[in-house]
Amino acid sequence: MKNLKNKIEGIIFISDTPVKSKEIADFLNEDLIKVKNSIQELIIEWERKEGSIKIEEVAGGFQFRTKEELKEMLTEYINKKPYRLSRAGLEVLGIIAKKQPATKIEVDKIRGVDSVGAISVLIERDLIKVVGEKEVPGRPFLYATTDLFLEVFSLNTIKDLPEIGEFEDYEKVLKEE
Amino acid sequence: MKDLNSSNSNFEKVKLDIFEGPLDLLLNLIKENNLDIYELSLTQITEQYLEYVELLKEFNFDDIGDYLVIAAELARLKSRSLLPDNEDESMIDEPEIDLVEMLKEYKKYRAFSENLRERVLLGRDTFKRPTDLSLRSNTLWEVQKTDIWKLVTSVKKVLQLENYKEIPDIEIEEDSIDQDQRRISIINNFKDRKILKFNEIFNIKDGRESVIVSFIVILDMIKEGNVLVVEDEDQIQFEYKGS
Repeated sequence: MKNLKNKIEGIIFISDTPVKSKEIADFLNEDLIKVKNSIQELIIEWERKEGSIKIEEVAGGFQFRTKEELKEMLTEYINKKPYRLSRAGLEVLGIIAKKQPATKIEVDKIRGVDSVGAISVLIERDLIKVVGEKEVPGRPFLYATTDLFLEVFSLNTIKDLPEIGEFEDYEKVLKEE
Repeated sequence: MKDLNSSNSNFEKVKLDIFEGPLDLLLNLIKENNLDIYELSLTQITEQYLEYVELLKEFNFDDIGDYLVIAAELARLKSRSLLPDNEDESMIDEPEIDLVEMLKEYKKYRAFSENLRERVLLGRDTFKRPTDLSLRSNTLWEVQKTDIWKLVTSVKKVLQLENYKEIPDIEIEEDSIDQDQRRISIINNFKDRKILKFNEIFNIKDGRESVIVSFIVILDMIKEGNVLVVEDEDQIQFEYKGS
């Protein structure tokens, strides 16, 4: 099945966002199981190469990415100013990731402070989006994380995030390490 | 509210959203004082919390309402703790918010967010092949590590230094320091060296107002991503990232 594998590899290679196995199967008019197996084989082949690139399963799809050991060198090579995410922004993102879909008021309540600034930055950066309105007076927007959020934070699905209960005694855990 | 701020109305209003909020400040104070999250600990740090709120007022922040809500709740806890035990419980106002519960809940989410930062980030730790078709192909990420409260604490210390009292009032009433000018001079200082020490930007000898204006300018620059706060062995330094 070298032919099928090559086709799949080509599609993953040119895709800008993680490409789902179903998308590939539909496009190639191939059996989904066969496509999935080929993708797994490709992942292993790239791993065995011990090169600088890997195929990773993120945001429900597959993507070619560079290995972490190259991060300093590549950051220098790209030489661009990064987008900055403040701690407040990260905090709001974390709450929305866990509580989604969540309203601004629900986020504010946990943080004890207005989150409007952070929310607009996160929307601008396409890390969260409006997914509807809550059926309560005022009909506030409901926010949820985007596929880009999964892609940026190397998550396959939102379920890959740890449970919030694990952070009950976070500081203690850190001390023990 | 506006009247309160009239003394420094020459400053631009600064948005508070660079801070993580009053609960974050409380958790930091609890940690600094080696306390656990109990009502009793909260009454012990009330004074310190109020000092910070006073400072935020002086910095002329846009909206410190959320900080005042917590301040009011702390004051309520404090006054209740001062009541003798045999006081009729029904005389005491029911709490509008359960601060201890709020803090515990908030702390979990804060820790969770910290944990997010440790993940392999696309655009920081790993990169994908960019295509010209995509606007987001070259997205690079940087997640701020610095605790802004540490910066505030250091500025607070400078403002509390004894020698500021020796500066006569006349000097303070001189021409007010222009934010844009201060910004230019800070950027100018960065031209020689990419990293400046804390006291190279915040020097009380320049006067209290200058320290405050510098702080507001630095906050703005941090927000824009032009300045990075670097903590080096408990020393705060500033790294210039702008062009």
